[in-house]
Formats: sequence, structure tokens, C-alpha cells
Amino acid sequence: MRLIKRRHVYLKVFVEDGEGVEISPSDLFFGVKNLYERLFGTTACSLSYLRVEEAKADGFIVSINRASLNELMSVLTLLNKVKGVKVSLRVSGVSGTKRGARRRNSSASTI
Amino acid sequence: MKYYDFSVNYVEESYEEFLKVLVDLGYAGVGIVFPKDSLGKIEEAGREALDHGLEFFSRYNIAAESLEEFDKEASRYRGKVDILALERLPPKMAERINLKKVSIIGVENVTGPLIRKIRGRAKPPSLEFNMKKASMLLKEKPHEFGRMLRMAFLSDLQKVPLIVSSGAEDVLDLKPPLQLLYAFQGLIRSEEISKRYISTLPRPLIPETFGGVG
Repeated sequence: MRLIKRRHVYLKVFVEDGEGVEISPSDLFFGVKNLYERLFGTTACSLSYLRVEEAKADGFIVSINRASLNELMSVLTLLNKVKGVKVSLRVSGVSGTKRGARRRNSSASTI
Repeated sequence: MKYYDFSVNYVEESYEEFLKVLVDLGYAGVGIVFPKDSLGKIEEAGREALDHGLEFFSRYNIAAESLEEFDKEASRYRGKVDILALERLPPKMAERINLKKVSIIGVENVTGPLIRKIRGRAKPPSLEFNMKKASMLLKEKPHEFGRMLRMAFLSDLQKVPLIVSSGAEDVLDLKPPLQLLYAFQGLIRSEEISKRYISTLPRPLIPETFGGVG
């Protein structure tokens, strides 16, 4: 039995004048983690079990403890710079499984 | 359900791109903030928004340093735009404004007594939580960001009408409506998710726009 229920968020990343700028999952992870800690504190960030992985060329899947989903949304909405580059992070699917998040992303443009 | 973003800044060069993205993201209506020198373009901008299938509201933001300046600006632009909003006024002065003059007040300008005053009115103006402003304050003036959050929390607690908007200045600032909603509820640590923050029209606007209904 799983002790922690997770939510998987499919994220589309838009970069300003983004030719040649590559954002890796670890860049995004540290960007999100730093702002998360600043907004909600180190304890909340640790207990969120944050994870980031690449999904497609323009997308990432961010996984989080279900109880921390709203906090993650706040961070994703307020975060507008990663690696010193202006970015826009738009959520396009949320699900309990990664497959579900991918499916929601392909079927709708908003959560 | 219809979703609205009441604070998108007018940028002539990328206006059409703004409208396309708003439609893609699932918005039904938009409030476009016009600077002083672009007020002549309201009609044309409205037509373009309607062509894209978006409800259009023109908006002017009042930024003043004193009550006299606020009154002067409010009288000058009243009737010229659909929404007159208070963007900046020292909070102690904002307590003394005539609430009939504006439809939207930025939540960073209010104080506890003003929230109680708004709550007591039959047709109160809406308070607005602007994400772009929140992001800017978090970076530049964290104490002001903290105050903004406290006032938003207090407004929510007192059931004062509150709307959430993107405050977009370029296309990258636009976010899906539900992302804005969840982000706001995450910031004020609200357990109950309610779509009223992104689907309510500012009340003083309703009779003017829909011929007395509401």
C-alpha cells in the first residue's frame, strides 16, 4: 500500500525568445524548490516530496504529495525565471498517474 | 462556467496574440487595461476581442498619491471605460475614498477597516488579487507581499467579493484560469476550492453591462 498519495502535474514551459535555451529537469527542480522554500518554508518543501522529470520537448512532469498540490500551483504561477531566462509555466494536466497527466495534456490545453 | 481575466495590459503590437492565447486557455471574457494615451483605441480593441469570441471590458487603472488626485482622475475617466480600478493609493487614504467611484480595488491598497466598510455595502466594489503584482512584490518588497496576502486572506474570511487576475504585461504572463485559482487558494491556504474568484463579474459592472440584471 502506498503511504503517500501523489499528484502528477504536466507542465508546458514557454521561454522568452527561447531559441537555443535548454531547460533541464534539474534547472526546473532547483527553480521550483528555491521559490517553494521561500514561500512556504523548508519543512513544507521537504514534506512535499517534489520531483521533476522530462516528458517531451516542451514539457515536464512535476510530481508532488497530494496535500501540497495548491502550494505547488502557487509556486509554478509565481515562478517566472529559470536559469536567468524569463519563462512561463502553464499547467496543462493534473492526474494521480503520470499516464493520466500525459493523456490530459494531449486532450486539453488547460487543467 | 465562464472564466474572466480582468487585468490584461493593452500592448498594441501583440494584442492579437494576447487574444488568441486567452481563447486557447479557455477564457470567456477579458478586461483590457488601457494606458492614458491608448484610450482612443478602445472601440477597435473591443471589436477585435469580439471577433475572437471574447467578452470585452475596457479598464483604466487609477494611480494617485492623494485623495484630490484620485477624485480628479475618477471624474475624468468615469463613463469612458467599463471598469475604473484603483491601482495605487496610500492605504490610509484609500480608507476615505468614495466607494461608488471605482469597481475594482487592488487588494494591496486596502486595510482592515476598509474591508469592513466594503463588506457593509449593498453593491460593494470587488477586491482584486493581481498575480503579476504579487510576483513583483515578492521579489522587490517581501513585506508588502506579506501584507497583500494578509489582506486577501482577511477579505476571503469576511466574504468580500474578490477576483483573481493575471495582470499580464506580455503573453508569457497569461496563465490558465484554473491554475490562477489553485495558485491563489494555495497562497491563502484555503481548503475549499471555489471558482467564484475567476468567474464573478465585478458587481457595479453587472447592471451597466447586462441591462439591470443582477
